[in-house]
Amino acid sequence: MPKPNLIIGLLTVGIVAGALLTGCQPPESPAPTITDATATTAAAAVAPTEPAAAVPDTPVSQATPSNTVAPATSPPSAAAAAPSSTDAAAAPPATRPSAGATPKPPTIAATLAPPPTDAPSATLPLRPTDTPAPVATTAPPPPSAPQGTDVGETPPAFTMQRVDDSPITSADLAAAGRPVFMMYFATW
Amino acid sequence: MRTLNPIISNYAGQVDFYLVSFSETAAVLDGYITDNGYANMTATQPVGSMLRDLKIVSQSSMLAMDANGIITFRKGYGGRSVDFAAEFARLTQ
Repeated sequence: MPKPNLIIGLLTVGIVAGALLTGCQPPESPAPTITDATATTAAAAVAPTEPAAAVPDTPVSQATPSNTVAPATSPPSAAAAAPSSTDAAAAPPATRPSAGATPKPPTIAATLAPPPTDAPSATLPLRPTDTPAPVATTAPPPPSAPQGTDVGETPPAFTMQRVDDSPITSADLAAAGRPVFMMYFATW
Repeated sequence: MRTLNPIISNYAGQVDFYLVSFSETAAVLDGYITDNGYANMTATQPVGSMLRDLKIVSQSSMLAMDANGIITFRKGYGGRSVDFAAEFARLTQ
């Protein structure tokens, strides 16, 4: 008659071996389905990246409907990570969770976001009695005129020279902002 | 010039008056201004193609521009008489 300790040991070895063969899944936890966003994300993180061309040779892709693109994002190792899933081949692409997927866990940003406070905002609200901001007034641009040499036209750029050889340009005259009267003179 | 001199003096500081040499140097015109006791005139000489660009073809031509740089008056040699007082008054409006 075998000893009780030996029986218990054999059972333990069998349980451990069974767990290893079934992908280290604890028997009491429910196996995640392929539509679970968390499970597929974890499987994708664990699974090595394989070229998409090798995927069609796998049995999963053969069973996949033609209108799905699951093989591109769910390699065979991902399916092997969840052997209890019976609808793995018919599942939608892993990147598009189905409507029945579990709620997405909170992101890090949402976790780190400060809790709402009742402190007043730093910006002061506008009061109805505030006077409107004054509109910036600028001098109107000078009227534009066609370039030419007749009355009503803007003359082309020119340059004169003083007795001390310093130049006077038409731009200088315009910058002075005063009317100009020029008389072309000869002493002879 | 004798007619223009008192009018130019009345608008000193309001209108810049330039006596531009047609065929001489600015120094010659400056001497002429000094010799005749004219005031509020700046003697200059054209540089480059100024006369051709402005279509000045004869001496005693006149050209006035308002504060915006638009030509308001133009006159060649001879021709009609000009009321310079009215012309300067219009320039300074």
